[in-house]
Parts: sequence; structure tokens; C-alpha cells
Amino acid sequence: MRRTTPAITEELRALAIGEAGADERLASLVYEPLRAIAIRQLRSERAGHTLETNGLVHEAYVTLINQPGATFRDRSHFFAVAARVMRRILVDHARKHRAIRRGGEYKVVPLDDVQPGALAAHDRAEELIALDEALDRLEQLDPRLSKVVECRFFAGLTEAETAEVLGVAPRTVTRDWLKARGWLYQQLSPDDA
Amino acid sequence: MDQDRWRAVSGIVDAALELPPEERAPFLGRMCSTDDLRVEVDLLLRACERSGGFLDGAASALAAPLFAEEPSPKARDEAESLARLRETLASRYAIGREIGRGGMALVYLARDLSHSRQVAVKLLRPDLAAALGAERFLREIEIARRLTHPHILPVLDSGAAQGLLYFVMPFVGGETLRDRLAQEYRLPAVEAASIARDVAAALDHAHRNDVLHRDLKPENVLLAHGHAFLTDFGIACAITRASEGAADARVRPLTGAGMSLGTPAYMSPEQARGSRTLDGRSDIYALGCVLFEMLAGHPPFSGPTADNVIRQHVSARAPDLATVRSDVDAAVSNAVARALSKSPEHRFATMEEFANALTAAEPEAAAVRRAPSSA
Repeated sequence: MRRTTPAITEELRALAIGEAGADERLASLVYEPLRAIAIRQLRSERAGHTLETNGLVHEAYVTLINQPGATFRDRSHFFAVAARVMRRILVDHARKHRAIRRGGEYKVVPLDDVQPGALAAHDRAEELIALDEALDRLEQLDPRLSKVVECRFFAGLTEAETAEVLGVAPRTVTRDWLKARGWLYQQLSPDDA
Repeated sequence: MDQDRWRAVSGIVDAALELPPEERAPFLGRMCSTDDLRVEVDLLLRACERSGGFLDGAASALAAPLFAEEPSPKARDEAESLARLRETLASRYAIGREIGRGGMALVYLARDLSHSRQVAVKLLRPDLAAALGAERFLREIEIARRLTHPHILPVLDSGAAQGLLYFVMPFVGGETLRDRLAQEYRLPAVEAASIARDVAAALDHAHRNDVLHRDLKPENVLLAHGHAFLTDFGIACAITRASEGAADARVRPLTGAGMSLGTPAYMSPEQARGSRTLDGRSDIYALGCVLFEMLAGHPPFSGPTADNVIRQHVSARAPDLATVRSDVDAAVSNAVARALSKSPEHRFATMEEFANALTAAEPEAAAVRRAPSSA
């Protein structure tokens, strides 16, 4: 499925010249298409297909920016925004999941009656929400570290791609990633750190 | 921690990570001006060393189970009803997986805790439960409970709690006649006649106890262990009767409760006309329609709307089975034709007569038939 999306290309151009608010506009433009790709990919992954971990954002790029004139810089800008949007999509989904669960007044049922995946889904929703909150705190301390986490973890970008997106040396990404993981680990597993 | 403190901690950690482990302690001793700073640096360094594997997978893989289940409001209602049912019945039944669902009820496999046996717990759909009401439901169930016959699946238990209406039947496995027809389209003539005889025997018993079924259809016939069983006796007819608002003028009609009663493909002409004085011959007509469908692959009358089908039941001539399917015994075609007579006087007088006509058509099949085992 290839669509030409002039609005997205437009915002990428605005981003390239540093226009204010362009990244937010681009984020809202790609939220739904990225979400659709995520749902499709993740459901087929559940159905037994292998998931290309970094495939989501790349597929979105190919699908949405089907422009021969798109530059290397456009790609980096797109990845940066898409990584943040991916985080939002996954966390929104986790919050929705939690709201549904809480609304439903679920009772304890024998383990063998639990729908496969239901427990896992619940745990993962909580993990994602906790991670998101910790990441907000990390952003207050060190915005670049939280961007590295968005690129590496939420968008599945490689270190090289992340370096490209953030405009830093790959070595810096390696170090930031290690430090960010350590900091988040410390926040999320306080008993162990 | 504020940003300045973070910058100090972060810088020292960066440098320490570059050093071989044995050089770190002296380095940290030199760099950390206060004990507080040293503690924070140590904690973060330790967390960095221990965080191997943390966030290693992609977030999308972590989130995959969340995307797999995006329950619809209806699925949520069902999950909620099931949770209430589990709670209500916890002391008597361990409710397991769903084993079937129809327009009327959801069916769950369960273990009867006091008798150590498997049962099927049928939970009426909420709209239906609301429209039917607990009192009428339990009254109809009570009528069904009095019927004991090898080809009627007994109601073991029933109840109303927290807006839920449920009843319990033995779990016999197998499939409904509707499932079977969906897979095979037409059944072998001998088997079709055998199923019809089992159903006729069950209905004959009900008629002798002054109970009419009024809603015979392939969905209500269960096939298991080589025999046919009538299921949902009472419930099915309670719903039909309530939907007509017939027989009992005080009863609130169910139509408008937002549920589909399906095509009246098996409805006798007198029932279609809304007659208040039905008798067993109305069920005979319905069984004639079901047998016709087992042999022909479709019911005698079908059409785009319920009205259209009802009009045909009242006035259109039923197709001749022999022209639809040539390998059916003439005696069976004749029996079906007689069961499908427009006027009740022209049909068999009793279910037993209908069953006998089918048996006479296949003396060999009748001879080898063993007595049905209890469900």
C-alpha cells in the first residue's frame, strides 16, 4: 500500500527549515497511519509471523514518504518524530487497556481458565506505563537520553540510525543508551539497584 | 536530583565506564567531592552493569499482547457476565471454556463439583434474559424439567442471579444438526430418517405430557454417540411463545427486544397464522420441514423475508422430495409430504404415527437400531 501524503512531506520541509510547531503537526499526522501499521504488524506477529523489530518505523517511512525527492535529512527528521509517536501509541494503548480492565471489575479466576495472554497483556500494560512515567522524569534531567530510548527502544532504530537522528557520534549513542538503561532500571527495579 | 547534580553524576559515570573495573574505585574516590555524590554515582554504575537485557527487545514486541486483544464492548459485556456467572456458581460449578454460542445463549463447559461430571452451562444472552424475566424463565424450565426421555437432553439445574439466567445440561459433546448440515449439506437418507425418528420419539413423549415444542429447528437438535437429542426444551418455546405474545395475553411480547428470531423456516401454517389452538400436529409439520432439509439440503420454503416464508407455509405447495433427490425411499418422501400437509387433519395424528411411517420405510435400519443409551 503506497500513498502519497503531501501533508507529511509539507511538514518535513517545514521541519527542515526549522519552522516552529512543524514537529508537533507532523506527529499528529503520522499518529494514525503509524498506529494502523503497528496493529497490523503486531497482530500478524501474534499469528506466528516473525516481527522485524525495527520494521515499524521503516515501513511507515516507505509508506508515507513515497517521494523521490526526499532527502537523507528528511528521513532523520521523520524517524525522530516517528519514534516519539510510537512511544505515545504504545503507551496510549497500555492506558486504554488498563482502563478497560479496571472498569470491568475483574474477579480472580482459576489459572487454567485465564485466556492465554491476558495476564501477560496486563503485566505489559503496567510495565509500559511505568516506563513512560520514568522516561518523563529522565527527560527532565537529560532530554537526549530520553530521545535515545525513544529511538532505540520504541522505534527499534539501530545505534547508527539513532546517531544520525540525533546528530551525534555513534559512540555517544552507545554510552547514552547504556546510561539511560541503567537509570531506568534503577527507577523501575528499586529493590535490585 | 536536579539537573546540575545529574550533570555531575552523569559525567563521572561516563568517565568511569571507560575505565577497567580495577581503576574505577580510586577514580571515583578522586572525582566525588561528597559522600552523597559518591552514593549516586555508585548506584547508577551498578544499575548500568545490571541492566543487561533490560529493554533489549523492541517496545513493539513488549506491547504485542496489548494489540492482540482490543475487546469490543460486546466482548467486554460477555466477559463481565461470565465473571458474574463464575462468581455466582463458584460453590457448585467450575466454569471452563466457551464451547458454543447461538442467538439465544452462550454455552460453557463446566465441572459439576458435587457430582464430578462435565456439564454444559448455558447463559442466556442479556437482552433475552431481560426481556424474558426470571419468573417466566424458571416456569418454562420447570416444565422442561418434568420431561424425562432418552432423546431429550435433561435440564439438570437452572437459576437466576444478578440479572443472569442460566441452565445446566449434561455435556455430551457432539454437534448440532445445524453444524452438521452446514458441513455436509445433505445427509445420507438412512441417517436422516434415524435422526427424525429420535426427534419424533422425544416429541411424542412431550406431547403425551401436554407439552408442545413449537420451535423445532436444526439448532435445537444435538447429534452425539450416534443418536439425536432435543436440547433447550422449554427455553426455545418460551422465547417463541413470548415473542408471539400468544396463548397468554398477560405475557409481554418479546418482539422489539432487539433480538432476531430467525427465519420461520419450520413454522406450521396454523402457527404462522397465529392460531391459539395448536396441537402436536404443528410440531409434526416442523419435523417434516427439518427432515426435508436433511434430505434436500434446504428447507421446503425459503425466501428473502420472514413474511415471504410465512406466506409460503400458508399457501404454497411444498416441493416434492422425489424431484429434489432421487435416492430417497418413496415411503419417506410420502411421509414427509404428509407431515407437510397444510391442514393438520391431513397430517399424521401423532408423532408415533410419523415415526412408524419412517421405520416402515426402512425395516432393516430399524432392526439394527439399538436402544438409545441415556445421555
